[in-house]
Amino acid sequence: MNKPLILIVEDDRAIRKLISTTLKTQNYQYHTAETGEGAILEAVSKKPDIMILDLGLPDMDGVSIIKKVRTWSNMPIIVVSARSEDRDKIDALDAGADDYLTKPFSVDEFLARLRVSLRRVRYDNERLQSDASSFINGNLKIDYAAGCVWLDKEEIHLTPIEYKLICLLAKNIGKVLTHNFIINEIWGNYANDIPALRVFMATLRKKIEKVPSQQPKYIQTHIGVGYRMLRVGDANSLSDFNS
Amino acid sequence: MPIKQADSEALPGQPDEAFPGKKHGRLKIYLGYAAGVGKTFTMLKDAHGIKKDGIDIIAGYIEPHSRPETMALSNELEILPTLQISYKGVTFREFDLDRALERKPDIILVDELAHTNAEGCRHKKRYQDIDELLRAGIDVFTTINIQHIESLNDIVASITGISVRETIPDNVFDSADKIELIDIEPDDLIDRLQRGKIYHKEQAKRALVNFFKKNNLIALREIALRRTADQVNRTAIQNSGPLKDSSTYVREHILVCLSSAPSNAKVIRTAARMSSAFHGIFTALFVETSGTQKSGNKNKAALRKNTRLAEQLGAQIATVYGDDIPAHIAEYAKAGRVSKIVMGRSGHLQKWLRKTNYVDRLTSLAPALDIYIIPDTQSSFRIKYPGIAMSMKISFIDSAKSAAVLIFCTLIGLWFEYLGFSNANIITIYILGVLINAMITKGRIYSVLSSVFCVLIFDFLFTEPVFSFQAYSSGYPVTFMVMLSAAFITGTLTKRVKNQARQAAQKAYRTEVLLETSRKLQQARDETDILRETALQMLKLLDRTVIFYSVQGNILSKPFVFQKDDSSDNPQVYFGADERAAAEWVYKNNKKAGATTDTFTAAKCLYFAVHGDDTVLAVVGIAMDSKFPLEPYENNLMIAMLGECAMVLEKERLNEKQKQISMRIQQEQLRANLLRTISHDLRTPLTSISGNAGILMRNSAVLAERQKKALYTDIYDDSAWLIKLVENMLSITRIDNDMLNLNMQPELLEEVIAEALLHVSRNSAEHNIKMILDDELLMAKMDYRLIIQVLINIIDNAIKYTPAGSHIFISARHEKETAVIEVADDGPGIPDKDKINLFDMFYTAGNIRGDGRRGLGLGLYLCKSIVEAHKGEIFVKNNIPQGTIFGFTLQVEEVDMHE
Repeated sequence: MNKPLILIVEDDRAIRKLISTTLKTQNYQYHTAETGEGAILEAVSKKPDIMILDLGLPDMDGVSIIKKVRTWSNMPIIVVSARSEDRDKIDALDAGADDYLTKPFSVDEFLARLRVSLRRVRYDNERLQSDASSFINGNLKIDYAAGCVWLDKEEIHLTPIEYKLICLLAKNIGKVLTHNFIINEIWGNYANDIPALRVFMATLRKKIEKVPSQQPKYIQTHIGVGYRMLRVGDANSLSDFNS
Repeated sequence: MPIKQADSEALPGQPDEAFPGKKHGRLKIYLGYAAGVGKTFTMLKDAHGIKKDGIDIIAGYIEPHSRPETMALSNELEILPTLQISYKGVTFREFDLDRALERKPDIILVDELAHTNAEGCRHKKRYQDIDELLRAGIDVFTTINIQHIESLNDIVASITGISVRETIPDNVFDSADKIELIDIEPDDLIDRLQRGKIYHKEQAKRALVNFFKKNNLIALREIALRRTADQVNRTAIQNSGPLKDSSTYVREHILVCLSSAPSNAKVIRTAARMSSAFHGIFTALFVETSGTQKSGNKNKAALRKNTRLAEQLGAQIATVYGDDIPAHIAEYAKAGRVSKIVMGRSGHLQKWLRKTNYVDRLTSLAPALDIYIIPDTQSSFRIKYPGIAMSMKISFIDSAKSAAVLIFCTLIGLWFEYLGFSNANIITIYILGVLINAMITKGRIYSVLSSVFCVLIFDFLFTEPVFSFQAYSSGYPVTFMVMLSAAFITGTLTKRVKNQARQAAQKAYRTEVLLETSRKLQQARDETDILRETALQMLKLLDRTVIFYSVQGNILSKPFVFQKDDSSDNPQVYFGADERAAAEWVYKNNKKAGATTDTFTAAKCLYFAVHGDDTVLAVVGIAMDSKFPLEPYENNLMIAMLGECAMVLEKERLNEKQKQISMRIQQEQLRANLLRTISHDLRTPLTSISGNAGILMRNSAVLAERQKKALYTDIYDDSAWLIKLVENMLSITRIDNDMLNLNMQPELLEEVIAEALLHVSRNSAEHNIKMILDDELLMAKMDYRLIIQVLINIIDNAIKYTPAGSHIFISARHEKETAVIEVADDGPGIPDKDKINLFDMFYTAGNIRGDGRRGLGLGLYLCKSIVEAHKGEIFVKNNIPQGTIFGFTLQVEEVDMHE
């Protein structure tokens, strides 16, 4: 893939300018839209590779834009919002968004998230071409056919639920999965068993991460929202900006 | 030809003066004096006229007639589907009240006001359905025949010889906003009947013989006309106003005495007619005597029937206790400013025995009173007086007691005779025996009998000739008479004293129960407490299962059930939808309902509203195991208790409201303080940001790269500081808004601490920060955003107040039921005197405020508020060998894992 095309949907002039300037410095190509209508029009006509979407648009609810776009396109959508309530993030993610950023955010963080999402596009394309019988991420390898997980060439033993969890995360690598989404996929219902999910996730993480709490290499926690598997290399770029 | 009182079309849509806030429906009654005069027809025709004006009018229920004109008319209206109720294999079609309430038209037609609903409907009577419609603000048109009005019931019966079972209380009729009398000549009506327009030919023939006799019809018509005229008068008086409101106006107060006698109903009706003629106050008084409790169920049922009749006719029911009936009536009459008393004349037996005495005594006790005596024509024979009937019942134990006492007296008498004492001593012994007998037995019969027996035994054993009932001495008959009357009077007096003592005890018990209730309620801390105490007191008093619904934000809560000890019932039976529906109805209508009433008769419980001045505060249900209502005594006591409960509840709510107001004031002050400080603190970084940016914009060319970099860093740092401030402020609003609104979820402490570490100050790179966890799966209940905020503030503080290179350890451990999270540093530490004030608002270490901007001083105060909102504790202590430990506790959450 050569230079990716990015669609910025943001009604606030200053933020739009900030994002576009940032993208220019990184030599990305971009288009902008200020309204929901405009966003959908641009998305249809210009076929961007990725969309940066502000949830608070004057004419349309951000979540409904995501739902509309998802009817024909699988492009990554990164949601940017000043609303800090978990509910908004979860709604957007459940509607099909890949990631979210809460204002105020730093430029570095923004770029890191962008890279993660772009890599997902690339990975998706690769996967379409190659066979999908195994999954490799850094030192982590999942052999779907054999149902085994390998870390540093050493097989690690997972409980059935942990195995299901890691497969789900791997299939959606780069994408933030909400608690409800995961529970529904693993247990098949909407029973509110988030605490149990957390414990399973913690044990899983202990098995595959070297130092689980400090620097997540594979599984990133979005507290109050959900989890995401990162490509190795993404993790470092993501944790840099804060410290 | 119909006589119209007013233009019926003007009915809907008028502003209602009586209920300015809430629209109350109006009732229009089409009154006929016999079947077939054309009530339904006229009503339907009116409805058509109204419908043409575009008003939403529907037919709720029209009796299925075979009269084609009527049916044709009703077919053109929207007809509400009927409710089908099957009862004992028969299907009844009934008016569907719920559907009507849901449909909510402007006007609804409901035929036959006096109809009795089939078993299984919400109300027993249709007029109750209509009452509910009116209260829901729906106007109602309905029809009725004159003989169905309660107070005219026996007059009509006496004219036509047919008594009607289905009646409506007079006040329903009188409260109608419009009455339209459908009047046709009796001849025309008979003609109609003969042409088969009212009944089928066969039925018509029978009707002509029985009911539709011309003079019957003329009389009925006259009654109907007069009743309508009365109603017009009443409306006129009510509308003229001053009469109603004037407190100085002396109204007639009519009193009727309730009894279980069947003739009492007639007396009550007469009194009701009288009170309506005088537009007076109407009270029905029941004097509860010691005999009342003992009277049989049949008598009690008759009494209840009469009480309900009086209630329906608009009487206030009053009950007084005591055996001296006339005295109590007179007393009540004086206290209640009664002007007229209506009494029944009782049968011949009573004439010389009691009742004339009543009247005479009443006249002497209350000479100012008008007394009306109504002849009893209904039945020539009288039921046995319940009191006597009861005391005639001979109990084996009491008989044995009496016999024993008499035998004992006789033995003493024989011994006295052996000692040679005079007969006078023996007589005294017998009188003493009668006295003891009166004390230890129930019922007067034993005193009477033992008086007679002791005279007989005395005659038999102690007078010459011995062992015969004859007496030689001429003085003996006198002796016997004196002995008999002395014994009799002693017995009676003792009985009376005993009864009075019992009544006093009952009264004392009542007072005691009320006092205890009142005392307990005073001690109750909150609403649930109040309801629980009331329920327990009621349970104690009534010995029945009690159910309480409290009201929370205009809806009824889940019921609390207080079961009596020996009950084996599953409490679930009280949670059924039917029970709840009854309770909801009571709540909405502020009236009692459920078992033993006419509304929701099928419910297991009898429901009462606990109501304050204008709102229902709670609903209480009492499990009724039989069809019999509560004893009047229990009922009164319970009402008093509920009144007490309502008062305390209302007081509690007022208190609660005041507490909230004062809390809000406090919060407002807090917020004002915050705002003042924050606006001050905002100014500094903003000045720095805008100033630095200004310099960069204007002097970018002359500034050295190093200088520029310094300015950029300042701008970045200041904005980062602002971001933190905003986060803190958001947290404050979150806990200030509503402490209960915390989004408590079990969270892994590991995740929470890791997340907090991502957000701590940029300077953390200069410190060694480490996380130490005993148990990586330790979970605690928290609002994670707020707890992360706490951690960030504490860690930031540690970074800020310790030199570069210091160590900071963040640990979490499980201690009993709590998770303890600590942030320890090896910095210089905090002097003890500062530790006390550390968590105060706007306190900063070193206490240097001003533009030095060492921090907001808000951080730790906020941490404290957040931790306290989580019901945890925050603390600070010295680290060993040096430094400070800040820590707080949270509640641990155990997780069930099911894989």
